[in-house]
Amino acid sequence: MAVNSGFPNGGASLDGGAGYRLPCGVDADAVWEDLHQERAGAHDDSCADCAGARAGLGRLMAATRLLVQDPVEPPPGLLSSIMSTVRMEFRRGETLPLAADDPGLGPAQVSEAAVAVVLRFAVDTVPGVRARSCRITAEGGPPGSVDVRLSLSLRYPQPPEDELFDRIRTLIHRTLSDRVGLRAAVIDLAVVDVWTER
Amino acid sequence: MRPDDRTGADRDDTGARAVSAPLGASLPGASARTREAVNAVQVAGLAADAARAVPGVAALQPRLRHLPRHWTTRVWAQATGRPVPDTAGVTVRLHGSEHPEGPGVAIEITLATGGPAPAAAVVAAVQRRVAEAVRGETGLPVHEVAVLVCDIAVAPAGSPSVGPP
Repeated sequence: MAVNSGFPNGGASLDGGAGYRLPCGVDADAVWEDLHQERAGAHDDSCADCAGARAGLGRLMAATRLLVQDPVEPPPGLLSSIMSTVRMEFRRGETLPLAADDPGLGPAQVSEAAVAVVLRFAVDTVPGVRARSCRITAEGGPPGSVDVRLSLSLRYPQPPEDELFDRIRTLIHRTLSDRVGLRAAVIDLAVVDVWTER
Repeated sequence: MRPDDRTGADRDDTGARAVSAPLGASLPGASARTREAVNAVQVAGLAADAARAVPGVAALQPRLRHLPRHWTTRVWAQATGRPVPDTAGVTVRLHGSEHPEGPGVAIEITLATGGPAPAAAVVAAVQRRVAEAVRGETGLPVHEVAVLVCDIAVAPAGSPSVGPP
């Protein structure tokens, strides 16, 4: 059945069986095939319908050739670059606002996970202490101010806990300030495990 | 627009009038879409170069949404004949006159820091230098330079390695 018919001059028909037919009666597929084979068509150049179709299909053919010829060689290291990006997106977690010199220049943020790594690494340098989980939040405080919640595993026996905790808190304050540029408003420490050395 | 934004026509050190413009504006016969793509790549390249030059920036980190850039980089190469700049880690949004701040650019950078300076100081320097570089080279007002630090090197470069006992 003709889906669209009756175009005396200004249109084309889409015939369910024969394909797309130009107003002059020539099948558009035949024009495409003639163009592809670089041979003359059924109608000569005086046929405006065929000439218009050839011009349009010619542009499409040129664009298609460009796409086909476009060398899309994967650059070296593409896969590792994609995987590194994917891992970073998962690792990034929440972000913390940094105190900006000039807030008008836009937001400055740091990944909570990145700060946690720095803090855990610093705390691990204290003899007999292993950092476990570390959460850093910035809720309600001014930019640059954060709350730190760190769980620890301690070697037994240890020096008096108050002395040890003071030392860890000082280290956290200094690391946050020197390495990140953040200030700790609250530092909660929780001992979740003890271990002995044989 | 920020009050200190320059407009592309500024006096240089000698007092002569130096005019800068985005590269897309100088492409004869290019479509508006091509000009935009060229301008975006140019701004991203300038921003990436300026950010990488800041001491304490260890690397720029591409995000997932940065990966499919084939079309814009191809348009850049075809329209300018120049090699495609390394813009990994930088996203650029071009604002038109309909934007509340008027025409300009918003830049987003994701980076890793390393070295003795705190990440916040590195970020502040990146924001300043990137805004200066883009304004100076293109004349486009810079509405925003948003920076996210995704990674911090655990030991400052050049310092002895500090590890658990």
